[in-house]
Amino acid sequence: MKKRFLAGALTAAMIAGTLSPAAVSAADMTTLSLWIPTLATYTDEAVAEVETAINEYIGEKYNLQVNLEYVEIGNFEQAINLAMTTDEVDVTCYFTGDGQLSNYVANGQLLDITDYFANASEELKNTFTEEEIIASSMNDRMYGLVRKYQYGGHATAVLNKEIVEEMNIDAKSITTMDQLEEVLYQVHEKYPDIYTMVPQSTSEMTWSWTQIADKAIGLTNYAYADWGTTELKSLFETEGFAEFCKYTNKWYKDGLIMSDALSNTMEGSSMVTAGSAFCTLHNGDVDPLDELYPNTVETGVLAPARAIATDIGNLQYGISANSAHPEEAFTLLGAMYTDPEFATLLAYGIEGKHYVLNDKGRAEYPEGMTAETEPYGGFAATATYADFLILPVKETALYEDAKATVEEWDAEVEVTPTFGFFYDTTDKTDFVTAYANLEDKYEDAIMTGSVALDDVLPQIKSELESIGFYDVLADTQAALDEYLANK
Amino acid sequence: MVQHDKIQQTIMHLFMIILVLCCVLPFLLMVMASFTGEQTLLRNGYSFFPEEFSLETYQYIFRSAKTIFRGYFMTILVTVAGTLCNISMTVLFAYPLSRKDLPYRNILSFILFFTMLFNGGLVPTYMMYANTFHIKNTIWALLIPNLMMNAFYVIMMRSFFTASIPDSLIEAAKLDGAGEMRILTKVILPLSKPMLVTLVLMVGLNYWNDWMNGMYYVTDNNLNTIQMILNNMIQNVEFLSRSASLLGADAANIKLPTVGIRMGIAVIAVLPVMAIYPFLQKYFVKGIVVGGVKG
Amino acid sequence: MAATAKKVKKNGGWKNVFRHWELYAMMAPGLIYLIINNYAPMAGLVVAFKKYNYKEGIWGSDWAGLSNFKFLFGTRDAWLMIRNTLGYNLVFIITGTVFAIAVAIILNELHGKLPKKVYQVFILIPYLISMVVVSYIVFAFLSSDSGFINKSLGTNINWYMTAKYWPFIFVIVNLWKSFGYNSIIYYATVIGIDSALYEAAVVDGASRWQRIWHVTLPGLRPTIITMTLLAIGRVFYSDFGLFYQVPQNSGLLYDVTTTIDVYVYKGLMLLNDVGRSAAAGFFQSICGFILVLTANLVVNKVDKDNALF
Repeated sequence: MKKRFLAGALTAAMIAGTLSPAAVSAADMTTLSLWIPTLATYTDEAVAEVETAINEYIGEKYNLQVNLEYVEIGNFEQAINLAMTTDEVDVTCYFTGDGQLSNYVANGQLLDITDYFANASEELKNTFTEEEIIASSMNDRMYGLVRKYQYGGHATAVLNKEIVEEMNIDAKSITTMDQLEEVLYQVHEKYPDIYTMVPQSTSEMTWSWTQIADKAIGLTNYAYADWGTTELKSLFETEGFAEFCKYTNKWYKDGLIMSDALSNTMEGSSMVTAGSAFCTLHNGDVDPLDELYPNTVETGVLAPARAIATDIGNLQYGISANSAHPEEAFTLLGAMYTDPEFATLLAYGIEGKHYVLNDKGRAEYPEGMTAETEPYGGFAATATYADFLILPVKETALYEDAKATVEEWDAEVEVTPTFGFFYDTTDKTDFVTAYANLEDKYEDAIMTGSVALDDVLPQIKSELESIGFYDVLADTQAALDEYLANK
Repeated sequence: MVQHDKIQQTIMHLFMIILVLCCVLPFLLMVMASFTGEQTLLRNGYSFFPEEFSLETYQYIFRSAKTIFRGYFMTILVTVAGTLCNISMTVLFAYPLSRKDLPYRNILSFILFFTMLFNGGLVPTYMMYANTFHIKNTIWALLIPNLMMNAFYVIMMRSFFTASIPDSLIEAAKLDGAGEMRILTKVILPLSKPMLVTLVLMVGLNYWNDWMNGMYYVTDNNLNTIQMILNNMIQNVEFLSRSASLLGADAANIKLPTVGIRMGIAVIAVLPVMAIYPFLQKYFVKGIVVGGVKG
Repeated sequence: MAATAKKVKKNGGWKNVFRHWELYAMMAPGLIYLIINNYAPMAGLVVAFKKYNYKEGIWGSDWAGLSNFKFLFGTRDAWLMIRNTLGYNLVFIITGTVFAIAVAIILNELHGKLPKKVYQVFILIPYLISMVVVSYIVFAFLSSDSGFINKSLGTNINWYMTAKYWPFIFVIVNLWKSFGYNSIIYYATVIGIDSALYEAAVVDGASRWQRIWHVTLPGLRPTIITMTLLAIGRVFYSDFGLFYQVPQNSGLLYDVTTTIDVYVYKGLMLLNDVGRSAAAGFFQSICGFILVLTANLVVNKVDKDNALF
């Protein structure tokens, strides 16, 4: 009886095992795995199809085969950290937004690609600016290539279009927090049933720090400075933070901000689009907003475009130190930035099937498909590809236009004076952990206005004191001063 | 006396009824939330009697029916196969342990018990399964790691055998010339139905609710179970609250499922368990013997 | 020495082992599984004492002494998370046991077969729901704008911002989720108690309370001891879902929600440091192991029959 059960179970399991499509690989070529985070809905069938198309192309051109590993973005870091313990990973995306590059390097996860890059084609070398190379380097060694993206962004707010039209608000003329405040109070009075202001995403009031403070000096993430200065402070003691939070605290007290802000699990933009909220903050960039969010209007610029260190290359592509084929992996990595056909296939899939080109040379969903139903899911995930400029497909004239626009943008962005400074915290990881916890504890609460900064500042200071914050900060400041003097 | 007893009975029934309500109503609130439109939810809040009855959540879920149904299929497959393997191994391990005449029984018991306290941690386990056994992106990844045998259930099974199977029965079977396997299948198991069903419920539930193995060992969407789909949503929401900024403005393309949809999928994930479990319930109580019996 | 040899001969001895080969063969699949799944990775615990380097792997990485353990104790959060982990677990064990036993006894004292069955079906429902889903349910109740409690009571409490409520919320949620299962375990023991004992008590004229006190509770003792010993082995662990997902990781609640598992998770999210996470796990295991051994020793002294081993 039991034997029959077991046999049945095993057969069933084996049948299911064969359901997954076998990876296509040619015996004499090296197969590399490429790990990309995604938030899109995609089917494995479509990915396999694109993989086949890519392999046909790069097999001939580079004598390589690739195995695409898409992982849900929420699981991505955990997945690659595990996978990088083995030789499963060749080329992978990794996030460095919170200063993690130093951890990846300290843990020996990433391959040092300095020499490969030095010997690479001129085309690849010219793809990256000096800032971008610094952003993917530590102690003058290079560990990855940054995702091509514009530097920083300005801060704006997104408003619900219907209300804007109903109340005849001139959105573009709103360029200061005071003007925004005035509009918010008017709207709150007229539409008391909807949230006047919601956090940009979940419990984060804003992703954009440009109107607040200069975050993350160099590659550390505990030291801040007010814009234009090089005096390091704790986040909670910067003037920019205090000023921003004075507004939000007032709004919160007056019921303009959702009182659930701290346990919110929604995105601001969807709430504004759906009409359940009027306003959320936004970090604008070269792309026009209206195409991204329907039913919204963007205000004027609340804070100018500035770039902090982690804005440049907060998402990078590199090679796992445990890769069995580092040389081939570098070829593949380079191709992601320099080979238009490969990059386009990777980002959008197969033309006609997963995307079509409109007359402006931009990729669009094929007729009848949306972000939810398009099976390869490329677009919705363009945020995570190596080269965001593939948005207008590379071979078109529009790509050159976009490239020019971004270069213009980058030239005008104010880059933090401390850019390029690096303070090694690898022997202070206990402090970094303790600090991260402390910041988590207060940051969102204060920024959403749920708590008044003045009420908790003494407590924060004493907690900072107790984890040795000010000692580390003084050391960092000394190193920064030295760096600036030498610069 | 009788009067007194009646009052006591009434009080106890009342107490139990309140407890039952406490157990059921929260779940019901979630079910109702999944039938409330997103806008109504925001305006009126969570309620047992939503002002407006809406199917928008389930319409959305139905649109991605393919994913959901495949998730169901995988969940059921893994649950059934995993439970069978687990129960077989548990029985085969527990029965000898319940035999007082087994040499080195205490050592074996300790080997078993020790696994309840110590484990090698995620990374060594992962490296072994991924490197040595190559189970990534196979059905085995959902079946084998950590779930195939659990010391606690083996101990429960052993206690049951010691408590409910008289030694004389085994002796008698032996005198008839039956081998150990035959004794187990023909004599012991038929007497152990309640315990087996109890274990089926508990082990099955572990497989049904598991998403950890999927998160660690599976990147292939075809192998996603319902719980993995649910977990992915939560991980994505959490990721956005932690580090959305690194995606830059393109993050605007990201559409998180609404609270109502998350509730709907949660309901869908729990319903089958609730549907099956009352049928197993009648065995449940009879099966459990923990402690009490030392062997 | 002679006595030991004699004992080995009596219980062990190759001949005796061989005679039971069938039993050992039955255990083989389980043993192999334990060796692969549980014991082989334990060699990897050595990572806890190393500065793990991905390139060098487990064996090639440099030794780090005890420095990986420092982050568990080196910060001001150390006291907080150990207090929370131990404190909640102790309260959970006590409330969980007392409540479950009470329900088990009531179930046993009740008349009427059908209601009894119905109660048993329903009180197990929370046990079937995963913690993720529980976090949704809790949110549905506590959300300050749209939560059921604030809406129906007309209050305006900001639950996710007020730390003082959460110790109680955790206890209630934990109890809600686990009492049904524990009650059934104790109930199963209660109905297994020899009915002759009850009859004797009734003959002696014992009241209901006396019966419960003198027959039921002593009958439950072995189960209580086993369950508690097992729980003690886990007091340095905490249900990550309960303390992280249920409070929606709200910053203002950290003082009452930070347990060892939560702290380690958050720390490692940032540092992806394999050595530290192994160190934390090792610390939890060792503490649990020592506690169980100690508790078991005490039980051995007081009530030898009910010790775990």
